[in-house]
Amino acid sequence: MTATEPGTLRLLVVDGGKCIGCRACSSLWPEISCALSFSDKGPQRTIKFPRAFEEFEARIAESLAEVCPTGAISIVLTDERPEEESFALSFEMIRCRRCRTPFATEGEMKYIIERLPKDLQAPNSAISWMEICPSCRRSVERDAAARDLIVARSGARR
Amino acid sequence: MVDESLVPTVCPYCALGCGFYIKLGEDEPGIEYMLDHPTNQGSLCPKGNAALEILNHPDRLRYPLRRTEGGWVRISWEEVLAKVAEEIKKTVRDHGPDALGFLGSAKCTNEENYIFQKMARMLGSKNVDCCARRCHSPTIPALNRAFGSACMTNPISDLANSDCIFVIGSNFAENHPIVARWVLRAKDRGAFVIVADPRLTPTTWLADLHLQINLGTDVALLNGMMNVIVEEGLENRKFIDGRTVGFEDLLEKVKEYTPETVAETTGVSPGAIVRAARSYAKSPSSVIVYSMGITQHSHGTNNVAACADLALICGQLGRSGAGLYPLRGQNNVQGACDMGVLADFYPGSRSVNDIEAIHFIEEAWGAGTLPVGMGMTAETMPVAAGDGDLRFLYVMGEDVINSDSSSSRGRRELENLDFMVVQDIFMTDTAEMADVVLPAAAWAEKEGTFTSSERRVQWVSRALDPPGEARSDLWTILEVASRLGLDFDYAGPEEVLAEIGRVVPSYAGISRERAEARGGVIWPCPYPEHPGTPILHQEEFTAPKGRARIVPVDYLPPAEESSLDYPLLLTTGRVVLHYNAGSMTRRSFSLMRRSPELFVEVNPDDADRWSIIDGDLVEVNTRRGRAWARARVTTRQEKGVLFMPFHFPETNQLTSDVIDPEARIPEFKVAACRIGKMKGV
Amino acid sequence: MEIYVDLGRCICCHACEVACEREHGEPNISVEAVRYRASVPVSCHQCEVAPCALVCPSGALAKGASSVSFEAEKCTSCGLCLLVCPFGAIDMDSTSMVHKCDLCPEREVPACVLTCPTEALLYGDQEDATKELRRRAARRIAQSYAAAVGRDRA
Repeated sequence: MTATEPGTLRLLVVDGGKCIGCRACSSLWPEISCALSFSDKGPQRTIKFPRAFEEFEARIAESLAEVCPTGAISIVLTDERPEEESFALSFEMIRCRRCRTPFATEGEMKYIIERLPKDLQAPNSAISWMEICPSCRRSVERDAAARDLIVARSGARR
Repeated sequence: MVDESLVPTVCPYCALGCGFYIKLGEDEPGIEYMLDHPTNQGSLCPKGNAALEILNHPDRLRYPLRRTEGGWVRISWEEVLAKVAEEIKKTVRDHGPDALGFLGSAKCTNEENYIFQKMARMLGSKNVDCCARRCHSPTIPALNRAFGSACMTNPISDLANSDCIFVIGSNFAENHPIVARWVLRAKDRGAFVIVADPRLTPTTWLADLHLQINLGTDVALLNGMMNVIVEEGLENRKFIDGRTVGFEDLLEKVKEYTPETVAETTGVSPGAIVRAARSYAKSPSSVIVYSMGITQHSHGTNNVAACADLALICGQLGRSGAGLYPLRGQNNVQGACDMGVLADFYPGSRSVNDIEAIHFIEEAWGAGTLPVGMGMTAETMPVAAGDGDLRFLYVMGEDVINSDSSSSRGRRELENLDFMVVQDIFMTDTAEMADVVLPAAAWAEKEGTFTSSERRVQWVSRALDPPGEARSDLWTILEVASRLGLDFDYAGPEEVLAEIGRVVPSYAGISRERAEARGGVIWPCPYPEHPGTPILHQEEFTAPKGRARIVPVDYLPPAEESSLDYPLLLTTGRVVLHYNAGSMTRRSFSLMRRSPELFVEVNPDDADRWSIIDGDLVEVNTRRGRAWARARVTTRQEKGVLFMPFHFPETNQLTSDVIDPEARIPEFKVAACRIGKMKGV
Repeated sequence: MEIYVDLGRCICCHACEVACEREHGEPNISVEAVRYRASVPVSCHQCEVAPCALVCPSGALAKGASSVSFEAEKCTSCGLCLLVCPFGAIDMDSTSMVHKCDLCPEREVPACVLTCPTEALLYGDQEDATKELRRRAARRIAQSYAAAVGRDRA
């Protein structure tokens, strides 16, 4: 960043192609959660961004760019106050195959799959856990672990 | 090296007496695990883990309070003590000492309970009782008759030495989780576990054989088992001849309880009854574990008697791995009973009708004449209040209203009292009804002894200060007594314990030092060097001539049956995350977040019939009241049976007020009911 | 050193959860009943190849010698670790702070293991723990055979 000049605004620019709709930027500053908000409504996730930060908020703006895992956020200096106060990005979330609850965006799932070891990435390796939400993963693990025990115990009742 | 920031203590919840340390020195007190405690070996159930959450709670009572028309008003200790003494004197003067009622606390120390009943009786009142009445009151007469003493016969850890564990009317996996530890150790050695319970519970998960009996049919099952045992010649002749009386009468009685007949009544197959009987009788060491499913019935005393009979005819008593386990509830219910906070007993299990025994107490107390005869019980006191016979009630540490069956009636009755004093740590629903409320110190804020279900007497040291002006119950009772002309001169709990040792033979050898040792002492401990008595009845029973009495009993059905208006049967019980009336656990954040509301478990067939789906808010009605609860549709219980936990006040509005004729415990376990969706919700 | 589970002993009492919550502020282990006939505790598997550590953009999650460590100061609350854990063993609290089991580094033995009333949780290296589990299982197999046959056990 260049040295601040008087009256300079920080424009928040988000590359829609890079943003995966995670929670990093919106979690960083709870104080501005009205301006930078994250909400899941049904299958739709919406992240609302403030278009511009004042000079004294420069630190906040810069930190948002740093925290983004994909580098989707950049800060542009400007003198012209933009017309819009905010803008939003929306994501259609993936529904859990087991309970139908929307639990992740496609971008998030792509991000994590890319970073898994090669052998876990292959589509044939029955990675069905990827298609279900964390809560269902726990339930599936519990079901699998308890299967034999349940069968054994069902025999005890008279 | 003793770490002074770790104060050893005993859990305030159930009667297993688990040890842990309260860790001081940081902002908030914490918990450290006591790995060398003989009963729990460091482990703690969720309630023990959450025990500290109620100490610094904003709801803690901090000051004495008096009820006025404008609400509660804070008053000084001087004022409130003077008022209480004045009211007692007034009642005695105008109506006589039998218009006074005293309900002691199974959560207070032995010393506090001892002084409480001493005060009551020296005032001339017979009406002293405690919540044991609602819990193991059938155990007392039934086992006194059978063995001569009414308590758990072997230590909890001794369960690990058993080869066959027969559990009936107990869900210990939820209510006494540390018992499960020892049962599992027994299973590791190959023990066979039988559980008789109308529901599927975590306890039944541990069973090799689960007998899903119909509500209240325990005597039929037990007599059926005894029928098999006798038919197949599996009874222990040597034990019967050498150590019991009354077998011939039992022989007659159980003839009619054939497996086929019993199968009809209980809903358990004849094959399973035979298998259970054989396993229990033939195993080298067998135990019977029982609790509220046996006692909380209109024929609870008979149920306990039948359990004792089974143990006696098989000779499964008096040695390691063989015994009878009435699992008691409160952290000091055993102690409160030992201290005589019972309408039918003076300290040391002396009957209130035993004139000679009472003379002994009179001498020990330097008292004139002490009252003779049975007083009012925890159940009859409210009735007497409603009738105007009881005018004054002193409640120490119990949420009476919510622990009573058919509690709405209890409320109306208590309203009729002239004066009620409640001494507690929280403003419970009972305290809300009092005329004055005295703030009490909680268990970790005072010292004294507690006696667990296995007769283990343990000293608890004061770890923290009570909030505000709250005082120990001992201090409060002594202050009240001194204003009544009773010359109770004790420097502290140690001196009271010393007197207890002179009055209660089982405690004679128990000093503070003995009780402070890790694991305390298991009574009887008749003299200071005595090591304590983990296993009872090894050579002789305490009954006359050292012989146990076999008392045959008949099966009687529960008092209420289903009918057209009330087509289902409601049974009540507990869940692991809560404790009794809930005054402590419903204020405990980590427990409430996991178990926040009253629920009712409904079988899917019944749910279908009344158009209920899982998660619906429903209304349950009995002849005595109604309650709203969250429906949980589950196959844990058979069609026709509902289950509700009684940790929430509404449940006891529904329960039955029919009582066992001898023990006077209400039939909490069976009530005819109906269920329906709530309209407009 | 890991936490092993003897499933047949879990009674769904939630003591492990309450203990963990008291020690850490949030529970890092959860138990739930399955078909009302068994109960299974779930917590971080401390995976050898840890997807959460591979995915964490800020390095807050990192594979250590015997566990996957979590440094709260580095966490950005992106939530990606929750999505990548195959077992659903990572969670976020109400302030979006991530939490997962860290095997109680301040203790010799994790609190959940110490507190479990039924010894369902074992802590040790693989050999010791599985030896104990096998020992318990062997006895139980022997017994259930004996019970099925109705054999005298004297």
